[in-house]
This record gives sequence, C-alpha cells and structure tokens, in this order.
Amino acid sequence: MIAFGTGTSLEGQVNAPAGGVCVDLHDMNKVLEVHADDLDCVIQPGVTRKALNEHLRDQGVFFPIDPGADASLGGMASTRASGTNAVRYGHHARQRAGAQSRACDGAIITTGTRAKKSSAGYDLTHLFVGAEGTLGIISELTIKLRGIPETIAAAACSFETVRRRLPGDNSRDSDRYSVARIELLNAEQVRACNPIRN
Amino acid sequence: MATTISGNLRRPEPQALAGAIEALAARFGNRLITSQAVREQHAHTTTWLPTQPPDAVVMAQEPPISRTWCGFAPNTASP
Repeated sequence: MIAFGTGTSLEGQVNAPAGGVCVDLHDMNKVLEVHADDLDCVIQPGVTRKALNEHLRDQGVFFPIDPGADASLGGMASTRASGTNAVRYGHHARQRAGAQSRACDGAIITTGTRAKKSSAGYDLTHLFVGAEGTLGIISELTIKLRGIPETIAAAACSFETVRRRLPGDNSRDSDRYSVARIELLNAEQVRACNPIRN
Repeated sequence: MATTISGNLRRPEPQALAGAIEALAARFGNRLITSQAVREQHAHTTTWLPTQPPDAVVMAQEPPISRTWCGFAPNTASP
C-alpha cells in the first residue's frame, strides 16, 4: 500500500515498482481542532499547507514549514519535509507533537500527546516522521503552530561568489537577524529564473 | 530481519491480484478506481523517475471505513 497526498514529492515516494494499492488521502482534509492559544492544531493528513494557513489566518498563527509546493501535511510529515523557512523554524520533525497512524494490520497507533514536554518512553511520533509510509499511514496529526510575526521584511543580496559567507547562514546569525527564510541562487539559477520572471 | 525492502518487492500473482481487487471493489464500490489514467496520475510526480502506477487506487475516507483497507495487506502478495 502506498499513501498518496498531493503527489508533489520529488523522490518517487508514490511510485509502485511492484504494483499494489494506492491510498489517496485527498478527501481526509478536515481541520479537526485548533488551539491557537496553545499553538497547536489537530488535522487530517489530506489538509494542505496553504489550506491550513488559510484556515488559521484570522487567529494570528500559522504553520511555518513551506516546501514550495502546496503539499499535504500528512505527506510532509511522512517525508520529513523542510523548505526555505527551515532556517528559523526547522523541518517537519520539529513541528510535530503527536500522530495517529494505521499500521498494515489495521491497528491504530496513537503516538505522543499535545503536552509540550514529555520524557516518557520512546519518541514514536518521530519514528513515523520521515518513514514514508513504511510503518503505517498517518491518519491524523497534531502539529505545532507559530505566531505570525508582527513585521516581515525581505531583501535580496548579491555576492561575487557563492562561497562568500552569507549573513544568517549559521544559527548565531539567525538569532541576531531572526532570519526566517533564505533562498540561495547561484549564477546558473538566476539565469534560469530571470526569463520566467520577465 | 536482514532483508531489504527491494528484496521483498515482487508483483503479486495475477489471480491473487484479481481476487484482491475484487474484494476491495466489493468493500469500497466506486471509491476503488482501476482505470489506467487514474493509476498513472497517482504515480506521476515531478521526479525524474519513470511512472510506476499502482494496480488500484482507493480514495480513503473517515475512519472507521479507512481502517478496512489496512486489513487487506496480510492477504495479498504486494508489500
């Protein structure tokens, strides 16, 4: 069985080299609970990143991970998605509080809780993050949210060479500048992007 | 278990596959889709890898209905 969210992955996770049954989770797209004060929410796996942020936008919180595509959050968890916002907010493993998954024998496995801290036993939630459906299919997940920054600024910086040190390229500078998102383009990429933009 | 995932990959016997599809169809009705177009759509991504479609696509719904599809795994040869 192969879980399918939105099909935006880049590494062939939805390929079925030996056939099998594809489980399309597109219709499991409900936001079940939002706890804006506690900075978390409970969702079904087919909810997409943009749909969740649209749902949350009047509550001052957002889900920060942005892999580019409007991916499903179940797929992002299963593939441990990151993206340009990872500079500040980390990748998907840092955004998960708990999950409910279906193992191949049909058993429901609930891992983690909404509690901010726990030192009890194995961290099974993070075992499922990045497992790409090999351990089970995520049927519900609890994810952490962040407050929307009061001000956001964007800047483009040019450097003579790629190797030249960039501001905000390590954790110390990230704290100082609070850089959330960085996209680094080398000369080839800039050449490829410009015709599209113009 | 020292086996690798790729070592376990083999296509199910046609008879077993037909039986599994039939059982799934009986359970899921029109939420089970076996058309070539839909199968290819569910294997097509932005990767450079060639499309490798599944044998069938099930549109999952709310539990407990979606719990049923997991129960089929031990009875079929596909992983």
